[in-house]
Amino acid sequence: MASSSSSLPSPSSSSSSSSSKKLVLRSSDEKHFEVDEAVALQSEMIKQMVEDGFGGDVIPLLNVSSNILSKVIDYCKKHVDFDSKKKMDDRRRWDAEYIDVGVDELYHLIMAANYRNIKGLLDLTCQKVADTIKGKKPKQIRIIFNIKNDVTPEGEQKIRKEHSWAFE
Amino acid sequence: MEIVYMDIEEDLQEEKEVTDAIINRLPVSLLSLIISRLPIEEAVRTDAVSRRWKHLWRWIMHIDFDSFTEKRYSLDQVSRIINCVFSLHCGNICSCRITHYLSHNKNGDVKGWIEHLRDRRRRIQELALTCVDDPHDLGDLLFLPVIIEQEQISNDLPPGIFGCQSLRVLELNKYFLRDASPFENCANLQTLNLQSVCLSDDTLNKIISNCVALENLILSKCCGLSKLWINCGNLKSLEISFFICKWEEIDIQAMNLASLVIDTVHCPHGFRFNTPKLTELRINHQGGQNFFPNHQWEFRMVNNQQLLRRNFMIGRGGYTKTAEILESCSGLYVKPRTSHNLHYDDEYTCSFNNLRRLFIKVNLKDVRQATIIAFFFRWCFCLQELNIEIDDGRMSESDHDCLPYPVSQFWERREYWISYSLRRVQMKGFRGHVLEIEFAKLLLTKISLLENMVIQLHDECSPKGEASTRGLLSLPMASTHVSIVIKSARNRLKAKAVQS
Repeated sequence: MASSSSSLPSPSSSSSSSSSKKLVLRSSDEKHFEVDEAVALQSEMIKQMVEDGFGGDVIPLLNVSSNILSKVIDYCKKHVDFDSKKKMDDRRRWDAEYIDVGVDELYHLIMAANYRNIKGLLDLTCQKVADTIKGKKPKQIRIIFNIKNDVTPEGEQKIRKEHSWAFE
Repeated sequence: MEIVYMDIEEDLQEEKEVTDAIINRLPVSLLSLIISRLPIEEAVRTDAVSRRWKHLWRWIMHIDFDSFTEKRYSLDQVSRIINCVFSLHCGNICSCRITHYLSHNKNGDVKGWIEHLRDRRRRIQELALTCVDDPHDLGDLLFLPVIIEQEQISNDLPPGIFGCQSLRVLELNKYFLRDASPFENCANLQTLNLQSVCLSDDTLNKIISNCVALENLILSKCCGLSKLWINCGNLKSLEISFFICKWEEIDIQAMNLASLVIDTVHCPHGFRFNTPKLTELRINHQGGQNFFPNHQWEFRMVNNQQLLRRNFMIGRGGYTKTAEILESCSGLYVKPRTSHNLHYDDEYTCSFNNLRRLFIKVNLKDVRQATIIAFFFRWCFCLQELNIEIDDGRMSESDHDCLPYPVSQFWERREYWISYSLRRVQMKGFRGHVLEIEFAKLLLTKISLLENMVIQLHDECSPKGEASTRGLLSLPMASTHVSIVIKSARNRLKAKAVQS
């Protein structure tokens, strides 16, 4: 629910790269973040909102808390920078450092990246989780993620039989 | 229950500390996104994790069948796995990679898989196919320079097989394309990546004209081509790597091309670019005399013994140097007319007026190469970023004697040639040679827009060279906001100067 729907939609010059243009994002705990338009537009969702004329307003992000939002903005800022320079090595190094976070934060980053539709960040976070379970057996995955085993031994046998090639 | 897990409990102690139940709370769609990043057999195994995870893999949008040939699974096993996964999978498959054996082409499996993926239900967007030798061919194929008859190796694909509405990206690896017919009706393909593909000039041209929406083209380690004339109006990015073009020049006519990469290419007959919208140019070469370390693949694919021998000879000859490429494409070197280039006008069309970023590997210490670069800069009115990797190739001090003035005046005399729009400069392998220093000095003292210069010293840079490089920090800069970083590889010391 946008607080100020009274202001007129800005003329739809959304994709022009006027570097000075700023957007204000509001986190779920009512904190405001002013960011360059180019940075905010890394998010497909915000891009869509700006194209729909939200540009002049505060953009509310109902599902994202301020500490996660600032982390997400860090990512977007850095990647706007990387995009202009195209240094793959630097990017990889930075990404690896960036994603070295606890599981709670990782969860919230995935949710935020998904909600705001930031493809690069979603790829990075999902890859991080996938790397954790890569090469692990189902029961190891259960332990890692603290998942209750609700598959009956017969059920598991059936699955193993059905996809015997995968369990070799 | 716990007793069952005792044996692995210990191994996982560490991981348990950093992970807990929260990941399992992710929506199913995101869990499936995570699973799609696992090798397919592991993704299938997650069926047994819990009821919530069951069947998740049947909805993954990316499937990677690349690992089975590496593990030397039999022909039948690979076919069975792929068929089984396809028959159980339920949703879209946006991207799929398949590495298969040569015989899978012959028995029609590959055709069947592509047709399955072409189905509207699957909406395939990105497809990568790699063909490798059958498992009974023991040993690494790279060390078996056996020539197989064309009939035997042909991995022919039926006409129009890639003509699929949803397909955007196609990668072919180690394929032999007899003709362009598989690309008929390829209306929406945007990116075509040909790696170690054997095809004729005619086939390449027909593919390009068939793919009307093609924007990105990558040709790497391709063989069978006798020349490279690319004429494509839509093309936005082009990458040519590990390519030999011995008999003709490389000619690229692409009005909308924005990015061009040339990496380790041998073409003694020169280069001709008509690319007025080019904004990024990268020219690089890898390796020294050891040209094309992994290029022997083509020996097996080409049944023409003569061509084989010819390529082998070139393989030992080496690549065309960046400076030579720049020389040839900037019009500095005018080629004598031969039967090959008669079709050109004499007039030179400049292709670099819009260049923003330039990445080159040259020897700045060499007067000849420095002259070429200086000449090239004259075309670059908009250049903002320059990245030079200083090559230690051919260099003879006697070259310096050919100048009618001291070598230290070389860059000073070309003051009006440099690109005054430059903002960022990076130089790697700097040794503090007089020509390098003078070049850096000219940029620092003349370009008022310069924001940042990074100089990475060569590992074997002499203390004297290092000292004279550091001398650059005390120059009167033209720009009021330039930062200079000098990185020394030996002791990782950084010197910084920011003028305010």
